Formats: sequence, C-alpha cells, structure tokens
Amino acid sequence: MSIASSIASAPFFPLVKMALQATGAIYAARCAHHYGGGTRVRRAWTLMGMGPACWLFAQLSAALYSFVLRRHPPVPSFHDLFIFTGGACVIAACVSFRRIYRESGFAVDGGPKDTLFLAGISVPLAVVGYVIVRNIWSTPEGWLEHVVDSCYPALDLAMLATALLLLRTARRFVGGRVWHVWGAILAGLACATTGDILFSLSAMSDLPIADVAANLSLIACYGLVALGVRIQYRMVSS
Amino acid sequence: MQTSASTERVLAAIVEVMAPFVGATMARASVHGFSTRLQLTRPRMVRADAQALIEALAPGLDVYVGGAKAKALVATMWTAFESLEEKK
Repeated sequence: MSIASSIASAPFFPLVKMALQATGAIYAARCAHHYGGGTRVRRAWTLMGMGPACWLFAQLSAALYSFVLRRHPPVPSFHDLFIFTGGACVIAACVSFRRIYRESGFAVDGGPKDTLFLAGISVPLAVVGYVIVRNIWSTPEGWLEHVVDSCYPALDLAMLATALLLLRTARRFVGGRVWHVWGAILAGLACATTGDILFSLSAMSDLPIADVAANLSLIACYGLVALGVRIQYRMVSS
Repeated sequence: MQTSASTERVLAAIVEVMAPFVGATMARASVHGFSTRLQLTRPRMVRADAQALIEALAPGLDVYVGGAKAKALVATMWTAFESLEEKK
C-alpha cells in the first residue's frame, strides 16, 4: 500500500472534517441567535449553519459504513441525502443573504447586471458540468448510481454559481470585516467544488493521490466556512 | 441656539466609523448614496439632518454587523457629529 493510499484510508480525514463541520454549525447557530427572532438575517444564518450540520451527519453516516459496518454504503444512502440537503441549505442561505444585502439600502449591485453575470458564468459551468456528467454516465454502474453521482457535480456547480454571484456583492466590502467573513466562506465553497471534482477524478482513475487532494480540499472548505462564520460571530457578539 | 456642522466633514467622519466593518468603498458609497437620497446637499447640516442620515444607515448596519455592534457604531457616529458641531 502506497503512502498516499494509506493516508486516504486513515480515519484522520473524517475526524478533522467532522470537527470543522461541527465548529461551523455551532458558530452559525450562535450567530443566528444574536439576531432578533423571526428576522430574515437570522433565518439566513440558520440556513448557513444547517449546511455544515447536514455535512456532519453525512460524514457520520459515511464513517459508520467505513469504520463500523466495513462495507460501502448503498446508493442512494443517508450520506447522499445529507450532502444534498446541506448544499441546498448553503445555496438558499447565499440567495437570502444576497437579497437581504440588496434591500439593506447600502450600495450593493443587482438587477439586470446580476442576470448578465449569471448568464456569463452559466455557460462555462454548464460545459464543465456536461464533461463531468458524461464521464459519470460512461461508467458501467446502474442508472440509480449514475443519477446520484450526477447530482454531486450539479449541486457543486450550482453552489459555485451562487457563491460567485454573492462574491460580486462581497467584493464591495473589501477592507472591512464583512469581506473577511464572505471571503472565507466563498473560498470555502470554491474548495468544495474542487474537492468533489477531485473525488470524481480519483474514483475514475483510482489514484490515491487524487483522493488525498480531494480530502484536503474538503478540509479547506469546511475550515474556511467555519472561519468565516466565526469571524461573523465575533463581530456580532463583541 | 442652532448648531450645525460641515456636511463634508460629518460624512467623512461617518465613513471612518463604518469603514473597518464594511470597507472604505462600501462605507463611502453608502453614506453618499443615503445623503443624496435624503437631499443633504447643503454645505452644513443640522442635528435633524444627522439624525435622518444615521437612522437611515442603522438598519443596514444591523444586517451586516448585528444589533449590538450597530448600536455601538451609531453612538460613535453621534459622538463624531457632536465633536464637529459648531454654534451659529
């Protein structure tokens, strides 16, 4: 067994991921608690916290199969369900924040420029998505596995598109602490996409080094999301 | 006796209070945007003008930095305004 494959199969990665996911979820919940009950900002931070919380449950489910039951999880599994729910929560949170920030009265762009930007990024993302999905459907697995595996890049690319749209807003905050929050969270979401692409590469090529790189990308994702949420918490609680 | 302060200096002071949190670009654009909407175009502003501007900025600050920090920033803005106030 090579060093890379030993590292890839070690319980170190799931443990670090779970610690970071729990940190992100806890700080987002504490952040939401600081905003008034029923406000849209509170709901948005709650949704943002549900992302890492769902990913934590997904990780626990995967760990149960890997380290306790010692077999591959079925398809679809609770792991898939929690990953998709977590991603959907983060997308919903980003959309909510974007709307809330636009309605704050501050100098935030929006309207037709957003539509143009979204149209501009959709084309390259759709091309990347098509290439990945085509590779997934070329494997000899069943249709259900193909559908579930295709949902991963689709969700990642949707998350990346939302993150890029929010980045357009966040870049106006450069130099302030709000920028530190969104810079970290959005960089984390970009790492999630990179990590999942590397995972599909490692699955197709059976390269342990790609698996290690994918794990490191996802650790960077959860770490950056937790860091961003923590900066926001420190700001609202001080 | 009516007091007032230089509009330009008040706007600069408010931008300075907000900049560490929302960044200088956003602070400048938002403060100038609100002052234009509130028609604070005269060279000097009175307390009522400052109140209208700060009250317009407060809900947005609440969104970005949270209620407690927003209140603290509003208080700092008032202190900055009062330090610039001069008797007519």
